[in-house]
Amino acid sequence: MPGDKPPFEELYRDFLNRIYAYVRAQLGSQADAEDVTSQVFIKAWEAYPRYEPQGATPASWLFRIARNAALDHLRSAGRKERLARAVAHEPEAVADPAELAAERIQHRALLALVERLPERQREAISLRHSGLSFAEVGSILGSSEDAAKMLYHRALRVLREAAAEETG
Amino acid sequence: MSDQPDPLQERLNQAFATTRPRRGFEDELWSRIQARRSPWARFLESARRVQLGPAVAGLAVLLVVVLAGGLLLHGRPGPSGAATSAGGLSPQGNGPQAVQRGGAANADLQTFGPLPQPLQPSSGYPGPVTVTGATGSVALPARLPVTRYREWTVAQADAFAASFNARPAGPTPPGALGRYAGKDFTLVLYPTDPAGGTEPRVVITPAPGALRAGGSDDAAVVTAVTDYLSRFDVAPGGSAQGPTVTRSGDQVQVRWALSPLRQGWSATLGSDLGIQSAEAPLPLSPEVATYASVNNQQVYIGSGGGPNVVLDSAALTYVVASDGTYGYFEPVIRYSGHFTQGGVTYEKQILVLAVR
Repeated sequence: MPGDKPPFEELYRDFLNRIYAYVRAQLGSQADAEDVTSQVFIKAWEAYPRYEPQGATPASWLFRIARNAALDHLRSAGRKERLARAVAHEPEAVADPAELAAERIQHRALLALVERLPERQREAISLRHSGLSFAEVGSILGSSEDAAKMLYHRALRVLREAAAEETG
Repeated sequence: MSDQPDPLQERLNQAFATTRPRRGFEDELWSRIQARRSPWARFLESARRVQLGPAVAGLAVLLVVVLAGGLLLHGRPGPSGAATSAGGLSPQGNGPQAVQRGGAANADLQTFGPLPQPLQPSSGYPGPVTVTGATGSVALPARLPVTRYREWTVAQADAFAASFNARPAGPTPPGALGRYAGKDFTLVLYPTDPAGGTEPRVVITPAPGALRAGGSDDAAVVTAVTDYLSRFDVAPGGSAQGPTVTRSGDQVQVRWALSPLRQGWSATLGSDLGIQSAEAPLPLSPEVATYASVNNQQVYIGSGGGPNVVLDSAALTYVVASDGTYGYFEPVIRYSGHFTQGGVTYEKQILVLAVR
């Protein structure tokens, strides 16, 4: 719920990992996710004096910035490369695969599937599983809470099918 | 999440919850954000942290009141070489020594040495006058802060432009450090301009139609300008005041102020809502020292050989000055008085350094 304005440092601590995970699911690559996450928090810091908690929860405010930054990034020159990779189903290069536990590899594979979803479905899944309510997801995506819920469940169905194809 | 998450939802929850940036990223990014904070804000925070005495706390308040805002300190590195920054006033920093010691504002505070004389104002009567009296006075604190920053050089302007894939593209406008062309924009970087009262700045001119606001309402216009300035790492920061949007004819102007005394950010949009030009202060690495104030007796000017004038008004203000290597925000006393010559009444303004 909208309310008091917490110190920016608190927001940073609470949301860094969530924003990073959200951005990572949109962009796939660790380097891109770090770049965009940095942009998100720098923009957020610059805009924080103008942020009104009465207008939006810190989560929706930050995730809205993150969404715009991720979309900007996807629309920039790197988009072609990402699309090519998605089409080829080429896995993202991993710095040191030996260090990754099997579970983390599975998580990464799942996020790679999320990354390949159509844009709005990808956003609905990512925002929802970053801890946002359907109302917040709808607010960020410019739709109603019910529409966000429907979009999410449609995305979940597509994802389930994609996961079945991948394993089957 | 729904009441009973299915296995896929559980996996998604875990995948998002366990996706983390690499170790060290959190601290690195926080340092970058900290570096962008206003030096005044960091100064105040440092003062609180080291529990400086009341006199220095008073100085901090004075800094804020007098300058009504902070210098910029963006993440993109500004000119290097400034020995200390305002943020260096913490015990770990290497700011001015006496401040580090944490005492009151004593007379032995380290200074930057002689300061450049302020440029005399171009407004009012331009010729010499004979000052027959200076009755105007202003109460000054014992010491006043002076801010110094390393001037931007041509090499640094080149590097700044290169970081946005912009290359030198003459001719360089008079007084500018350089003019650079990028894919769909032109940059012109200027150093401190004491005559214009401006600190180092960049003027960005997008190619026609390169960027349009998403709507004509104020919010859309402001968002477009902010996003555009962000591309060059010169977006208004936490110390910006505004924005104000004004419309005149076919043009829309967006402005953020830094303080009443300092230039801020601005942009002009045309009738097609395309950004025509934008201007922003360049990143600076400021350092602060305090100087002993002059007393009113020291301020007396003497004869200049011209109409007689009594300087009956005085006010403390800050002006931007430069010695070529450093730029300064230095305190001056603005004396003014009126005289009549040939039936016309003139105002004469004289700026005198308020510190010694």
